[in-house]
Amino acid sequence: MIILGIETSCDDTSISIVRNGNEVLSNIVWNQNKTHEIYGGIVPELGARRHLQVINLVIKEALDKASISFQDIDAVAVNNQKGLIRSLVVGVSAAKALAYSLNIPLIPVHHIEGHIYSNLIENKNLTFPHICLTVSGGHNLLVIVNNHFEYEIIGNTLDDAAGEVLDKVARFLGLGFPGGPVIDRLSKDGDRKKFHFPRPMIEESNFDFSFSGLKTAVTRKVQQLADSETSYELNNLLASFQEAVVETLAEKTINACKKHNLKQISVVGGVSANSRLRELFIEKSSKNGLEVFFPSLSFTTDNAAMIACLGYYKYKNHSLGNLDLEVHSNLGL
Amino acid sequence: MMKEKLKFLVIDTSDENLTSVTFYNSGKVYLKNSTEERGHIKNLMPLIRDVLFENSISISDLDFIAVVEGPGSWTGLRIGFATVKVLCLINNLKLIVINNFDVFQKNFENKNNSTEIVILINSSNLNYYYRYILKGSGEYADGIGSIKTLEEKFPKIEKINFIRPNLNEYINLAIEKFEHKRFQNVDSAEPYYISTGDIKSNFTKAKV
Repeated sequence: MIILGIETSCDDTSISIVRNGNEVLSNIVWNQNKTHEIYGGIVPELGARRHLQVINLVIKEALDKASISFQDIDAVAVNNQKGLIRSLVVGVSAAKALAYSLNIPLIPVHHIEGHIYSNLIENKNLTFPHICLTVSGGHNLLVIVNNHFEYEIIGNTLDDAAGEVLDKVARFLGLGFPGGPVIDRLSKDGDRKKFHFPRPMIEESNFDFSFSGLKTAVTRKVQQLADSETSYELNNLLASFQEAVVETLAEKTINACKKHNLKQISVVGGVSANSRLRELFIEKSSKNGLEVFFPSLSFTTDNAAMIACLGYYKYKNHSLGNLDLEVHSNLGL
Repeated sequence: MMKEKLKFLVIDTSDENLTSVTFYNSGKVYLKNSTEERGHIKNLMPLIRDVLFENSISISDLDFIAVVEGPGSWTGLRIGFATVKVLCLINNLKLIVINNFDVFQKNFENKNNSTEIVILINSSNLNYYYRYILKGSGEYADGIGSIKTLEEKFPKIEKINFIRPNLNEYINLAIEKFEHKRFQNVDSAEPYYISTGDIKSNFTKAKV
């Protein structure tokens, strides 16, 4: 069964063709970073315009790369449940036009649920139940995934998501947008023990996160340093700050695993591409007799392969939508 | 192709409170719409499906699709364009875009003796999209502004006529564009966005 997935929740226009839920025939992501970087963050109106400008081109490229034609598609899956409304409507309109023209099912899916499924594309040993940390610029959840479509959210961010705080600190330091990859790169040459930053809520027994205070601690430290010192210490500052973020994420996730007696960890979302995060999760999981799974890098940031993968399981579960499908900016899982 | 034989759709999502799909078939017009506020995403595709089904027409039997490019609700227009672009792509249909101002101008210019005409269309936040026409010069300027701004820009305007768009004028403009082969590239088509700007720098050679 071939599913065409569509993902336009924020600033990436992505179309993917996936066979039987895990064979990715193509996964095209039209990235808008160049458009938004001069503003230091996503400009929703500009994002929506770019989606519309490229939507047909991305569809054609996805079909070409997968070497299939429209007639080969069995169903269309689209994220309509989390993201910027004006961006989501472009993808959902395109999905409806495809489903109607080809007389095939339309499958509505949730963006974060898509990320949870991004780890099922390639990792056959990841089973149920497991604990999933979804972490990006827009979400930061700890979820027990009991079975297909059975979720128990045990932790959420009380303010900024981890990816958001990485972006904000990078912007504060004039490092451009998005901040995560730059911080990851520069931190490799830094001393992560040089500065001590708080590990927010790490001692608390719940599994919620709060990164806003950490952001304030970093900006205060920078304000205390002279400009020349900040420049000299930049890599050390970033490595120490990044360590505080990833250690908090890892500790909380491991603790959640222990408390709920789970043996497998899945880490998904844009921040799961962070190299130090991966290193630390592997190290801590190994020490605690746990298994940790990450998606391939191309499935960490927003992508339509995860939407098509989830769409496959939704189709098997008869969770289909109609042509009057609407969009929601922040629907719960 | 003779206009009597044409089959096409006109899609209008430029008004925040209206989603409209018109089917033109060999001189006959069939209209279906929804007045649900910001209901474009929910209603557009079902309206297209129903209009075609109720006329026993397959989408691939159409000669082209016409879509209103604005000015109007940006999100509404994008929903219309995203839908129509993909419909045209899959069904290999030609695309025609229709500008709301062009329709009004074509209709109004000939029936009015004034040398200067300003056409207003409701925008958001008490602003209006406007087209200023210097009659006979072949030139116009489009922009957006509040009533106060417009009074300052156009102090000589004396009379306001309230006119409603007539569906036939949209259809006639679509047919005229089809006859002159003024098609829009499907992949690069996008709405007519108007942002704030200076009227002097906005003067454009008339295209209607």
